[in-house]
Amino acid sequence: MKIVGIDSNVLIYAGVVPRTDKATSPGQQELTIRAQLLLHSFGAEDQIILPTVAVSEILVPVAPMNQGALVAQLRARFVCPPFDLQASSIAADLWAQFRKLPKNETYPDRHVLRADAMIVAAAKALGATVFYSHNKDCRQLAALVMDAQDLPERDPNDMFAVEEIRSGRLKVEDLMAPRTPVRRQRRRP
Amino acid sequence: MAKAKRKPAATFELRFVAPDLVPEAISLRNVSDALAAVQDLAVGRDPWEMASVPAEKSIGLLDVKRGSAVFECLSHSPQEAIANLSRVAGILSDGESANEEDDGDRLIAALRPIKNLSDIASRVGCVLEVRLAGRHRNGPLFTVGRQDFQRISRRLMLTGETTVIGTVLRVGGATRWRCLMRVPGRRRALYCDVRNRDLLRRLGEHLTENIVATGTATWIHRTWRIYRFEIKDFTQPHLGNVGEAIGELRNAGLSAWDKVSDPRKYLGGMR
Repeated sequence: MKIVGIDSNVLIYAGVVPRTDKATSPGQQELTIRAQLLLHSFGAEDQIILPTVAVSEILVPVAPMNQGALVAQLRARFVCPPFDLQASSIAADLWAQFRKLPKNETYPDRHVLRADAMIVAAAKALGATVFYSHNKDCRQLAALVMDAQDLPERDPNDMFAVEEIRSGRLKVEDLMAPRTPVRRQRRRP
Repeated sequence: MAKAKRKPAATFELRFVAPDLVPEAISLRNVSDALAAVQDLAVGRDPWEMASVPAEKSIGLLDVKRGSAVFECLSHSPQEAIANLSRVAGILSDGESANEEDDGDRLIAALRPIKNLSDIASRVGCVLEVRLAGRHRNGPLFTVGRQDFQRISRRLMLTGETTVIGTVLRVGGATRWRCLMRVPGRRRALYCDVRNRDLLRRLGEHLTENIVATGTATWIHRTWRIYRFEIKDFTQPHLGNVGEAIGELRNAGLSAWDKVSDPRKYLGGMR
């Protein structure tokens, strides 16, 4: 069993259907693929921690009447620990370690650190050994107490997956389904 | 001058009989287990039915060095034994042993016997002293009285609600409902109390499976090692098929993020 922590952006990017209009941020589809690749790479025995502080960020644009249902779905699939006493101690320690970093490695905004520190600390308190985030600053903070990783650019189990998605031979939906048989069938002429 | 109490006559003897057997070759555990078993026989107690031996029927030791009751012990690893016992003196005096160099497990291992000694001191109405043999002028290495465990637990421990991820190894218990869990990052398995029988039964259906347990923990606060944990509930989150998971999350409300033109910027603004 591997215990990993994920930031709110992993789930948000994985669940977003990229829009085709100009308002969509550049690279959104790429982020969606990378976030889904990450979720796909976890084993059945792995425990994925999504701290409640990160859950609250996910809920922000969701209509209040839907928030309860989404929380129930998140809780059924992820470990959602609250910010407990041990996490508060780890967050304080992270803050102290952060202040010792050179100026060019610190955040410009202290509030960012507060939210990030709470998310990372809650995951660490529960035994996470790796933390995934697409936010560089958050990874820098997490790296003080555990391994910190960005969203993967390739599927570690299938080096052709991303290229196939980009070329249109493989759709994101196919990647999400049980993949080996599906993918091999698609490669046949 | 107070008159010394007269030694009463012995009722029976327990002998370990074997060629060349010497007392120091038998471990204290075997001695105490054998004496406890003989006591049960003498009292007629079924340990499964009667929790403890009534004081008026209990069996005591004779020919132990008198003044008060001195049991001389021999360690086969004397240096290690003295080092460990000296560490106990540190824990009892100021909790200094609970520093960062200590691996936490060692402190927890020491706390349980200290609790037992405190309980014995309370039951017998005495103070237990451990001294280095032959160095009586130096005073005891440590003493444990009835209040000592309570005193150090107030100084070293902290209680609060928390979550623990682990694998269920065993459930059961005759007098208390217990669950043994393997917790990643912990060398020794964690013995947990279980809140009620229904929960115990539910846990029993998930032997060897991973669970996310919520409950009340007592930590050693300097190391955040869990000393005691009571399971109040548990879940088994499972991501499952990623496609289905994302589909269900989107149906439940995650699709609201589709309307956000730049999620990265939006998230940055929230933090």
